[in-house]
Amino acid sequence: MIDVQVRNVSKCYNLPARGDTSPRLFGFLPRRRTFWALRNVSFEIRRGETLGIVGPNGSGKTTLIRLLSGITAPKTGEIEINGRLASLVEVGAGFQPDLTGRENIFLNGAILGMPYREIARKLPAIVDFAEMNEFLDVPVKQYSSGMFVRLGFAIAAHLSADILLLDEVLAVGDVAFQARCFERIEALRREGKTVLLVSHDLAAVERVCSRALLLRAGRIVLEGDPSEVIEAYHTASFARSTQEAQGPVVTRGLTFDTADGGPVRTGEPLHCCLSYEARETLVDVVVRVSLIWPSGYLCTELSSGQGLRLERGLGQVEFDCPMLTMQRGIYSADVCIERRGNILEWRPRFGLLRVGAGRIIQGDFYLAHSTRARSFSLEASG
Amino acid sequence: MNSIVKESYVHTSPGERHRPRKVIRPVRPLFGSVPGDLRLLAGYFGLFRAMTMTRLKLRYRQSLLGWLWAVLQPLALMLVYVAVFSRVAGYNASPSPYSLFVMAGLLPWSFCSTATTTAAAGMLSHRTLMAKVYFPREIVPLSYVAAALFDFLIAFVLLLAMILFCGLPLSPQAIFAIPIMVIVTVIIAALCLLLSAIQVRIRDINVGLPLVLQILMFTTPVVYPGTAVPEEFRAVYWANPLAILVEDFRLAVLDGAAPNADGLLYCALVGGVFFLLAYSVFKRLEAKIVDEM
Repeated sequence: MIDVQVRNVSKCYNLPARGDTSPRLFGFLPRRRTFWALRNVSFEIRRGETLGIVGPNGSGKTTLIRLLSGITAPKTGEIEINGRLASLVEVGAGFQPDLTGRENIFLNGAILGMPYREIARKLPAIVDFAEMNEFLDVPVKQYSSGMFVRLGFAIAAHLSADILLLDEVLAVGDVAFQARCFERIEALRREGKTVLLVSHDLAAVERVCSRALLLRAGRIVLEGDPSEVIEAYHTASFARSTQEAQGPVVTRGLTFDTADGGPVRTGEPLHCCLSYEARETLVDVVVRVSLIWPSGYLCTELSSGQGLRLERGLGQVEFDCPMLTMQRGIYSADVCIERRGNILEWRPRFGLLRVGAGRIIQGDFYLAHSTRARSFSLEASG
Repeated sequence: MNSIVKESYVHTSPGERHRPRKVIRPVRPLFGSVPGDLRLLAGYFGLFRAMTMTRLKLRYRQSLLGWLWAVLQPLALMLVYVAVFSRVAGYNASPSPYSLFVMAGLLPWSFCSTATTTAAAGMLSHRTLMAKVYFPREIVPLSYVAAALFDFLIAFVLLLAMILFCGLPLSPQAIFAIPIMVIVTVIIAALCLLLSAIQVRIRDINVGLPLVLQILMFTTPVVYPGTAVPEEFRAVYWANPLAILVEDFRLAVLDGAAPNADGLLYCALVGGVFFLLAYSVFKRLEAKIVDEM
């Protein structure tokens, strides 16, 4: 059963020609240049499948979502949709700042195509999900941005659609709220809903999706297993930044594995190996490998400390962690080699650390710990 | 908490409901899709209602006089026209006081002008929303028309109160105001659809519209009786359905005269054709609206 069928879809936008921003006079129509946001894209989404779409900014992800939800029409091609489709492109887009939360729930629900009675029935669940009972009758303009976003997602999450389009909606709210969003998506999947997820959060795509597409410059470059697609996306992103550097030392490769060569997991030892080529023998060198969250923030780093000596020629720097405490997910790694404060080599997004589920934990980090239970029985104390 | 959440979507298990099938193609057929479009629009009635309510709620929120404004505006406008025109010879041809005469003309007219001005500008003020979510776009201009119609109703109650206050009889023929206003609404809705779709691309409409409305007002019997129109212009003058409707409205409410059936039929026909045309043009332009904004 196929829920969404996209056949040879292309979409172009007319942009003003470069440098031509002057207002129009009669008869002098602006010169336009054509920008192809999508070219000949074909794919399908089967019923009950969760498809992820990844790709760099400007690769056509948002255009694709807009086409599927009917916001704009394609230039060529055809899209067939079987079922009620709801899209959560940006939560809270339809909020009226002067209306109260309750009024906005009804307005926004109606915008998303929910009948009045259905919204009224779901109101308690929505309010509960957004955790905002006491602010229900306060104008939305007085909400904190977090409350705003929570309410928006809560409304959208209670839509009764067959097909859900999610565009960057997971990047909102605090950690607890994100966890609930994941739960909600999981629940939708279990119900057999078809989900299309567009996100820069690669870990989320890998975790939630059953299949993934890689878009680049408006074309589908790769389609398949999420982890393969993400790997390819990363590799391709690095390829752009591997132009030959002029410094005295050049990094050649970065690998992560466990001591026994198995997959990297939370709670297992981690072995990191950086290979380099030095044009001269370097002393007093510091080598750092920074591990970065999918959101772009620095998570933690491996550092060699002062006074490392790199011999001329090919070599390796190895890092050993007795236990990896980072939570499962996909982290990118920056490499920096410096000598007495001077940066010799800096390679952003040089490698990819994929941490699998080992010790299942909640939160961001695993803390090494032991547990024991002690009982104070009454007889012993008396 | 979870139990509540789950309860609320238990009924939506797949296969239980009819799944609509939708095909999106580059260009829509010009007329064939109108019935389907109207059916989809009917499915979004809740949004139409919610948007109209939002407009009505927002308009007077955080204002001191609040809903009084809906009454004060036509009243103030009436006073201005009375002050200016009541002394001009030939204008007071109606048996009723000039203030009532002007009021009865102003009501349908200010509905027309408020609806068109707000609807034409309205599309752009929903830009962010329309770029994010799909809903039938005609709901935006139509909700402005509905909000203007609501203001009209309030002012209409005021007019009836004024008639009774002046000690004039309220004829049963006044009931003809309803079909007249229905036709006015259809024509204005069509105009709003057309203007709002084009305005997205050609912003001149927003600037030029007040001027055009001003001219239109004086080519419609709003502040003067229709009988004051010179003989040689009459054929052209009465070709404008709005002129007929405004005149008929006043005659029905103030003088208790039933409107001319031929004139009403003509207006209904013009209105219906105009609406179908405007609607299908709107739906054809609909998918491009977001790209143009």
